[in-house]
Amino acid sequence: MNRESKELIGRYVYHVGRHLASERREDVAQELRSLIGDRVDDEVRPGETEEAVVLRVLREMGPPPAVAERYGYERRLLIGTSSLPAFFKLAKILPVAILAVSIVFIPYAWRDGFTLGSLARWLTDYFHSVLLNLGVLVVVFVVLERFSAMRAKPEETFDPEKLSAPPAPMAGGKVRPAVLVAQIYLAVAVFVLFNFYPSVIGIWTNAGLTRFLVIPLSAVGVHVPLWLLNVWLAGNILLKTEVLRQGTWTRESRWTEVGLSMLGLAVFVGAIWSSHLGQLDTGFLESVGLTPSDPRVKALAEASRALVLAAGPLVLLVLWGIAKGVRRLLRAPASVA
Amino acid sequence: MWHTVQKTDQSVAVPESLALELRRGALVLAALAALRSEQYGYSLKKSLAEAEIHVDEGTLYPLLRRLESQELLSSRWVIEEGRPRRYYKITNQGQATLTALGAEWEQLSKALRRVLK
Repeated sequence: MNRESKELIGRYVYHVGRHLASERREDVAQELRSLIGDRVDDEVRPGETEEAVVLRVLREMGPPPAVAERYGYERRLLIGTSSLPAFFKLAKILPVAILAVSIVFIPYAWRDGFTLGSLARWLTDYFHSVLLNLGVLVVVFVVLERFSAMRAKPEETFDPEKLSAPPAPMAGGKVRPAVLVAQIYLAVAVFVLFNFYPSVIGIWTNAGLTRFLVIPLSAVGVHVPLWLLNVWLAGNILLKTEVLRQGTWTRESRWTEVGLSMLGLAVFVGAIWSSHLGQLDTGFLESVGLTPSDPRVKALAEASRALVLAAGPLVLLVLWGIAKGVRRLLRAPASVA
Repeated sequence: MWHTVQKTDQSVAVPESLALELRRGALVLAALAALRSEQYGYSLKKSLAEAEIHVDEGTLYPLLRRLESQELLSSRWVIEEGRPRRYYKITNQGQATLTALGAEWEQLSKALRRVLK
């Protein structure tokens, strides 16, 4: 089989695979290649070029999403089978992750001492959080599914010659769907928190007060440039969705990731730079009954200054990650295909 | 898509979906029977076509996978003529299912013939 025919088949098989669960993608692709090869050998007519036969066979087989659908990709499902493995992985990880967070909050939950009542409340809160987050997870996957469905082209436009070439995979381009979906989920959660519930972001403390208190970041002088944060989050969500859709990391997507990491770092450094650390908001202090001379206020001011010290190593860590990514991109061969 | 079938002395257009629905159950039986001898997908398609059972690969290949997942078929990859081919063969469980389905088919066929008279 000549190079052009192989390329046409490769494109077709790639587009079918995009709609299949990653676990069976390679297996189905191999079977499709074998089937198309057999058909081309069998159906060649006198005077017909091999490419023409390949195109005829591919047209007869139909648009890639339709072929994938017969292999089990059901758009009728809220979450398509291509996303189900990642969904189930995350759904398994979620209760464990929430348990870890809940354990951190045990001192608060059992602040009045351990009783069966406090244990019951803690367990109730835990199950409530798991259910709520599973619901959010379902919503995220459904949105991704609809997004993917909206991008699907109608069948009548199918022309195997017009199918785009598979992205050139790069060394280390293997995608881990669970990690990507977890990152998308986290980005959506951060977006929701900063845009709709900013008051719960801050230092959580009971500070000797009668109720558990959230001291908002703004009250301790930290200001996050919201529009810039949203641009960074949206960029991350789009990038990870696209990588999930393509099924591989490419040079372009890795460079975009490096760019987004730099933007993220700029957002973080900008937030720290523009903040007035240690300067507590007096209005907030009054609202919770604390005076500037209160020793707890001084402690909070010190805590907010400590953020600067904590930010230093974090910035270095991100910079090191960016440098490592750039080095890998510059050294890695363009393609392993 | 529409199929044209003969009914008494006039042609009647049958929706493709109805024809597919009618053939779907029979196709499992035909595939299991044909795979009593080991075959790869395309050769199975051709052998079914020779028996005038026309099925497109978009239906046949996923069906083979489904039957394999139900342990009615087993498969193995073989490199032939420089091309990997997946060979399918009926399993013992598949053979038992085939026998049971065959009996069911005979019974249904007789019953339908009586109804269609």
